[in-house]
Amino acid sequence: MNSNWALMGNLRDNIIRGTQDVHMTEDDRAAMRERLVAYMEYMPITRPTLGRRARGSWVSFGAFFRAHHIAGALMIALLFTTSTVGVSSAAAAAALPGDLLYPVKIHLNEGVRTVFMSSEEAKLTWERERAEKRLEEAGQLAAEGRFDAKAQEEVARRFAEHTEKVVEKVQRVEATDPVLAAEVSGEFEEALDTHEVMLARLAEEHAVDTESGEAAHKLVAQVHSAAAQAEGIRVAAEEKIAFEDIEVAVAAEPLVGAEHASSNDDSVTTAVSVGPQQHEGGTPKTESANMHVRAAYRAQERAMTQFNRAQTLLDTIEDDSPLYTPARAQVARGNERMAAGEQALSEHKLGHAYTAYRDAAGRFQKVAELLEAADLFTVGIGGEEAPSSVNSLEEVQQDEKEVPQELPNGMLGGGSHDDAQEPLSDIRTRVRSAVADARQQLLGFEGYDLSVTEEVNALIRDAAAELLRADIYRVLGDELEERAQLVAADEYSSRALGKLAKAIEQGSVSEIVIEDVGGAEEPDQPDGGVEENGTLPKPAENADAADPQSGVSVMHTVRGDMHTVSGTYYQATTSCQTVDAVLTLLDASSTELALELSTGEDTTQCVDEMVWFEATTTATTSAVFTSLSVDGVSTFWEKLTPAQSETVVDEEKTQSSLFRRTFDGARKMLGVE
Amino acid sequence: MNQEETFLAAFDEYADSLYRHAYFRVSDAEKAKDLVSETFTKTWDYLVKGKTVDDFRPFLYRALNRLIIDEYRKKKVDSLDALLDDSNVPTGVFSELVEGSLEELELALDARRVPELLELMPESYREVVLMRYMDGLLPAEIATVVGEPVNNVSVRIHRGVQWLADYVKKREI
Repeated sequence: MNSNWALMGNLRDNIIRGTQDVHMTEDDRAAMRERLVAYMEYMPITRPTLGRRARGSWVSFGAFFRAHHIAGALMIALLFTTSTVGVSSAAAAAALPGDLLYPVKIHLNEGVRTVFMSSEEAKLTWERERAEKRLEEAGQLAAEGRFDAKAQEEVARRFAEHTEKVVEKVQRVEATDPVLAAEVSGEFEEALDTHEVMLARLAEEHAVDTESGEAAHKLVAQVHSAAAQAEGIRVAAEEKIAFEDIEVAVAAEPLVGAEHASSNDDSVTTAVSVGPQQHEGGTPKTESANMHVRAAYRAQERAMTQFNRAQTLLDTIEDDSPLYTPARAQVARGNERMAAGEQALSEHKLGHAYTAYRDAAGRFQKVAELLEAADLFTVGIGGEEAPSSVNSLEEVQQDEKEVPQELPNGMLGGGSHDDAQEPLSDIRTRVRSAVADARQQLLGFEGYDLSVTEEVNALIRDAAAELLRADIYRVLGDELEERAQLVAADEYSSRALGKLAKAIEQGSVSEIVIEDVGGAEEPDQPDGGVEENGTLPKPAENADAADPQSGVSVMHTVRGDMHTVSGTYYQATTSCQTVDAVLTLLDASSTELALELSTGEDTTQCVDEMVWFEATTTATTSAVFTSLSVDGVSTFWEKLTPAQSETVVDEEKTQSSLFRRTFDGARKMLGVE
Repeated sequence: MNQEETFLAAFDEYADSLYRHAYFRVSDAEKAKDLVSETFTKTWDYLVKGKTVDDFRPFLYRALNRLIIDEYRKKKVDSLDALLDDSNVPTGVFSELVEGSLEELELALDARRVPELLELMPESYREVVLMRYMDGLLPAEIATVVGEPVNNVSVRIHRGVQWLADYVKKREI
């Protein structure tokens, strides 16, 4: 045993010495760490409900991240998760075309995800999912009777964008991996088929007028043609896999046939690792045999996965549901095809096995997707009357949202309470003004204890978060939920005011005289104030707490000679504003870009925290973004220095740099300096 | 330390060895980076769900191992089958088997050739040999990572070492 230990040490040493040269570069490692930190911030460990969250922990979490010096384009994720008070990404995820938060969902929630993907397959799948998401949203709008020409345009445009990317990526993949291409396009095709059916049905049941009916039919036609396109790609990819030839060859000479593949480890690995062998016909036989084995096995795996998915859903519906019988029949038919696949596989008929499995997988997928969609929209496949969409949406949201559990008045209890219900608009107005008051008191006085500042800040943030949610529910027409969120917001804002009143009463606090609140120019602030500090305060957090004016976060994206500047205009005040953005060239040589924002009153819709804007112009590729003005006044702000800001260059040669406005005064208030 | 700090400390401590492990499993530097990155985001997702991890090392290896198996599943059906097929592993007195033929290796194994040998080694052995000798996990830890009885793991390690010995020997003749 002793000698064994020594020997093992020796073997270990050798292996360690032999492998120690393999490591990540410092840069890779640092970049990975930074992405991870950004991801952590993007997906923070949340406490079960806002109501129960320990106030201090959020703040210290922020401090933790500041200490870890996050930067980079991913900062954009942070800006949004924090500037919209920690829930924007979740809130935005529920936004639909036409909603104010929808652009946040499209550009940030979904955009951020792609940053974490580097493999082609992951990107492809994600693009496919995005295309399907757009259709789900359309379905949701249709179910609510909100799918009009404008929504149709938006959905159609985005769906076309995603589909185009899917097609482009699949075609690229097809050159090297027809198996994957066939699989992805096949799945896409099935999903689109299902959506087509669902959309047509939803439109029929819920169209409120001829306009919305027409809009839905346009989309249905678009989905139909996309499905046909996907089918075309799948067929082409399958032709490339060319099963017919190999069935004979494999049967005659089962080099890496199915049976082989599952038996002896050594031999198979060797068979796979040898180079292509020349067939009589001159084709690389081993390679294509491997491809067939892979195609068949992957189809089998996919069929099993989809079977489980369908079966799980099937288990959740009642026997007497009108969906039950047709869904079961489809699953049974799928099972027959699975059995046919098994049979074919055992006979080395890989082509037949593949076809059978693919067919089975398609059937299961369809059942699963129909059941999921039916659950979402409460639509019967059998043709019976659908319950009102409001009910079904409530159910959907019930699963997703955090329900504050300590709400006063038992608002979620089903309305059996005797309290006379205050009109929603009254509560909204009251809460808004309470939040504004609290902000004003926090901003207008100095000398608060740091813990009071943080605590009140957190309360205001929570109140604003609940307000934001309430707005979303209002857009969705869900009064019960809107009320619940407003009541929670009410409670948070009252508590914030209470704390402030107490602090002021204790006398350590005095009023600050702020000159010219309306002006945006801050000429006496030194450039690079943030760099001096060495850390990056979270602008949104500070803005929330102390910036008496507005803040802007901007991302500059270059694709070829197209420059896009997009971002948010954050409003610390409670009045609602619209923001128009114009991007212009500062000089004749097209090297400097200027963004002009102009604000106006918005009387229609208001999510009173931030407004998304986007402006585009053409300029030379190397043009830089140098100035920003709001309502004709240049504002003090900075571009993140290269050390802090990562320029992301993706495969489409898109360059993104992040800019943000600084909040120097705010940092002073918070005692960051 | 709070959870965030503990998690990042785990990144600092294990990222490199996970990367090395992934690299020798998938033979692709870029892919290995992706896998490590995903290992950490998946682990974070797990924490976000409110769960806790007491010992990050085996947990991270388990997460990575699953991702690697997924990777194989995508790329090589054959190897996966080989990987998952342990029906031919005899149950025996494994203490005899464990780290048995080391003598033969002692003189023969040249560190410079290790990467090449690892590349050639069948995946079902490579997986455990890397964990045992490069990453320094104990057989019991490896067993939790791959979800197999310790006995099987020990047998696989033994066979891996045997394979190395045989291979080196054959090449020398």
